[in-house]
Amino acid sequence: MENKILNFLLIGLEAEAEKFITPLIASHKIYLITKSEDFESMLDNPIEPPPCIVFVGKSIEKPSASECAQFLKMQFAESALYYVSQKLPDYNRKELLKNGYTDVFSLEIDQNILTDVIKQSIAKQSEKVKSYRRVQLVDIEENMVLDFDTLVYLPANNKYLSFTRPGEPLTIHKMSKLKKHGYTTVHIPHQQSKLFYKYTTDRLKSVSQDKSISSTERQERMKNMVRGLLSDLVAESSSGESIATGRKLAGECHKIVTQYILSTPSGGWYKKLILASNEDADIYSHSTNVATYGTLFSLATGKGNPEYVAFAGILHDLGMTRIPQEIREKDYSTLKSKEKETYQSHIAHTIDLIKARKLLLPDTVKTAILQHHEAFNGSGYPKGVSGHAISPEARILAISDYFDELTIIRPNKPKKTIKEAIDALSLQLDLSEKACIFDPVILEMIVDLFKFPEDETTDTKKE
Amino acid sequence: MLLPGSKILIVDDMSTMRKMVTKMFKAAGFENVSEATCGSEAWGIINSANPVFDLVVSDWNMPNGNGIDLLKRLRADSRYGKTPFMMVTAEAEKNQIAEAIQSKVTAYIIKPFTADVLMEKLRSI
Repeated sequence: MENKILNFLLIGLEAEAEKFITPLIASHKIYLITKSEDFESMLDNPIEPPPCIVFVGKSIEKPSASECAQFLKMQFAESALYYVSQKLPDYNRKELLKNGYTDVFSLEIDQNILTDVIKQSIAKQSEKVKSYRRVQLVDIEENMVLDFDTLVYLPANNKYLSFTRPGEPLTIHKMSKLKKHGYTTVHIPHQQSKLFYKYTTDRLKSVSQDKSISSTERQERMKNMVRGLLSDLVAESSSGESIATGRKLAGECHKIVTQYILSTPSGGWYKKLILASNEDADIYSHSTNVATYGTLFSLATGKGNPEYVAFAGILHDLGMTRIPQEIREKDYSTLKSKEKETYQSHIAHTIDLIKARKLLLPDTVKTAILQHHEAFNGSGYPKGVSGHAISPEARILAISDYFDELTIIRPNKPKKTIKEAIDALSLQLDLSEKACIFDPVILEMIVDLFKFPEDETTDTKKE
Repeated sequence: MLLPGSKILIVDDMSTMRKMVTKMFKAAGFENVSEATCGSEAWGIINSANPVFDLVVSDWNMPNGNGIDLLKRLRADSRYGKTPFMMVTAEAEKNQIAEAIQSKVTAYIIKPFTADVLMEKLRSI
């Protein structure tokens, strides 16, 4: 493969950081900004094509790290944006992420992961011209006009063959041709991903409102669509193990869910909630993840009201802000009983805050928030209710909450891959009903969502 | 509804941000865009403007006269009581939003944002 020269932008890095990063990107074009004036002139002479990665350090006086990020995110929306510091901890990680940084690294502890991230970005960018995403055939409606290209992969000569052009449908005839040759997937150019998300959102919406099909059929189709989305999430997460790709996909799922909710009658409400909970500044945060997974799970299993799950997900931990940080950050199982009590009071605080902010929520949403730590076997809190006394929205929320706790990246906490997290969830299924903290019926449906056919390179035949 | 000839004022202490927002407006066909570096300068420009501005887009945090004070001053002036005012900020703290809403802000946008988001907010004005 020929080496493509990429652009990199280094802004105000400390000497050590610059010395560390430069050799890693030596064969590419490096732009250096060390003075505030140079920063300003960037608007007049934009870097083309946009940099693959922008690194920012603290050696530039003005603009501040946050201002830098806000500007850079607007100027180079697609570029990865990393804050790199020499020492630990001389920055506020959360604040930086909130302001738009893709990630924050300290040379003292993150050298390996930083090297990895840079290498992966380069590899990914170099391939971008011919990079495609895989889409299951079941995710594409027959005879519906598509805004994007579809291609089929020919494993024998490692080539992609154009199959339909934008504006054309995958006709029944074309579909059956694909199936005859053993294809279960087609490919879409990565640059057209956004069009595919829009397509998926539209389909989710139209299927969920389609009264002409039976409810069983509708549920089956919804399930398949969500599975298609999740399969991407799992495939990327397990192949690259890259934090950045995992986050990006979570973000993409989030966009689809948000678009979906916005298209429902409660859409205006959701917008306000996101604004009120300050979630769109940091789309990778726990609450948005829980809302995203919860909504997808609800759509796919047909349990609970997906819109209400989304609301409850966004708000469920609002009260955490009132719990002392040292308790919040500890592993729950190691807390002393007094600390546990404090931790558990976050639910009451959430309800309090909702009242204080005069958020008028449907009772279903409030119940879901109140019950999201209740366990199916009755061992949860605050009330210790069990089984179907817990609302379906709360039962869904409990699973997505746990799922995100396992997979989210937090300082000082090992992260599980999505596959490992699903394995952990499946373990619950082997328990007796008395020991299972989740609704086993819903849990089984969710675990089932993550079972995919093997990678297609093994199941396709030569055209 | 803003027409292409609308008179717009961008207030931000960060020059790159100012330039960028101006660029977004110009790209969308709004040619009549002025800039101010802080709340006090903005008020000077607004106060002496004739005809009055049709839209003010202001950052929240600025060293010399912040966005919320500018908004309050505008709302206290009979000529600008109903003029669309868009607050731009990175700190989407709930109490700030509440304060801005109480002071009759028209729209709220959180940095970083894209031209699309800005235009969507404009349509809602």
